Order: sequence, then C-alpha cells, then structure tokens
Amino acid sequence: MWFEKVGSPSRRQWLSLTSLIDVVFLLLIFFMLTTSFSQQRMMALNIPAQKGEGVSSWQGGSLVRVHAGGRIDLNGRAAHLSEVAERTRQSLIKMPQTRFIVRPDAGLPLQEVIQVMDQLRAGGADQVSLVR
Amino acid sequence: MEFNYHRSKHSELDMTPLVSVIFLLIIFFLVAGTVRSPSFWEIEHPGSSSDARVAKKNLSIFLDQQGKRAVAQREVRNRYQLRYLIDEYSQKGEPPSIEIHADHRVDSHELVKLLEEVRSSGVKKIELITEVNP
Repeated sequence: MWFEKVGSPSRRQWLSLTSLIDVVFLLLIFFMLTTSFSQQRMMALNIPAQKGEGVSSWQGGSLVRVHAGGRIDLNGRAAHLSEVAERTRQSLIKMPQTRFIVRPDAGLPLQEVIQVMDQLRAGGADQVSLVR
Repeated sequence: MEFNYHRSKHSELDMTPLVSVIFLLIIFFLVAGTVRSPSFWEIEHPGSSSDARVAKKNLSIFLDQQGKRAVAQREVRNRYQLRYLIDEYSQKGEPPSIEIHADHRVDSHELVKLLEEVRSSGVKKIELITEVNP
C-alpha cells in the first residue's frame, strides 16, 4: 500500500479562478440586464360615469379642462399649471369634498394630464376623475 | 544594457482583484435595483409626484404610444376580448383589480376609453402606474 505523506503538500496548489470568473460574469450580465432602477408608483383612477348613466357624478363637480399648449381652464377660468394647486385648495375650503373632473382635449399626451392631476392632488383634492 | 526577457515561469495574471470588483458590481445591482417584470411593450410610464407604492393587482393592461392594448403578453384587439378577460376573473369571485401601464405619450382619450370599457365590465379598482419624477 502507498500513502501520501500527510502535512506537507509537494507544491503550493492554486485554486483555479477561471471557472469562478465565468460563473460570476454570467451572474453579472444577468443582473445588469434584468435590473431596472425606475421607481414605480401608482395613482388611483376614479372611473368616470358615462353621460346619462345613473346619478351623474358630473353634478356639483369642478370641471378642469386641459387644452393643448399647456392651457388649463379651472371652472371656466384660465389658470396656469403653477396656480392649479392653490386654486384647488381655495375651492376645497369653500366646498369640501368637491369632485374634480379632468377633461383633456383629444390628442393630448397623457403626461400633460397627469401633471394637472398631480397639481389637483397637491391642492388636497382626493376625488379626481378623468373624462373625455 | 540588460533586459529581463525571461520572466518567471508561471506568470499568470492575478485574478483576485478582478473577482472582487465583479462581486461588488453584482452586489450593487442586487441591492440597488429591482428585477423588472416582463412587459409586453417597452412602456415609458408618465412621471408623477404620486407616492403610493405599487401593490399587486390581478390584471395588468398595457397601453402603448399608439393606443394599442395588451393583456397577459397578448395584444387585445377589440373591446369584446378585453371584456372576456375581465369576465373570466369575475366568475372566480370578485371583479379583478387592475393596473394600467400607459405610455406617457399616448392620447389621453385612449386611456379614458379604456377606463370606460373597464368600468362597464364592473371593475371598481383601477390604478395607473407612474414613475417617480427625477
């Protein structure tokens, strides 16, 4: 029988790192491709009642019209985007629980409508509907 | 002059620092990011200051830049298909909660049309997915 001598290995044995690096590179590429750094949030959408459908939720609401070119009409009066929050706050003081009905022009990109809805919420409105 | 032509016999590149850096990168991607759920189209969500965290929903509807719709990795071409998908959920019990992934460039009337159709199917809870403004 032949035994190897214990305790004194002949040479220094290096662990081969090549296969480890292969695996680690694969992991790196996987995580680079699947990771997204976007932070998603959500916004509740009140579903509008269609015209002529039961008790209209349009009644007593404030109409916010959003036109192309960033023009906004708040209850028929022109307002700049930066004034919307303040005007909303004022009208909520007069009439709490006001429903705000946002009605964008056809062809208006969603982003511009969301900006207006953001401002309404910033002014304290919690009932915001979107209609056409 | 004398040059050292013959280096040591086993001149291998030392891989240890490379491995360390790559491990750091992996840990960075693991910790800093979230794994993206597969989506039917590449959709750029609208930016918003809304801060409600995304909760799991039964059904995701995708609305792309041209107003095309997709549910569950398939394009939905008409309102009856959408209705059928929602009714399928409703038969199991509650009407489904729905999240809408709409592109920020889509015509907002397309979103309203979609909302009206979803409403007529009896759905009460709809959330629009937005992105935190930079």
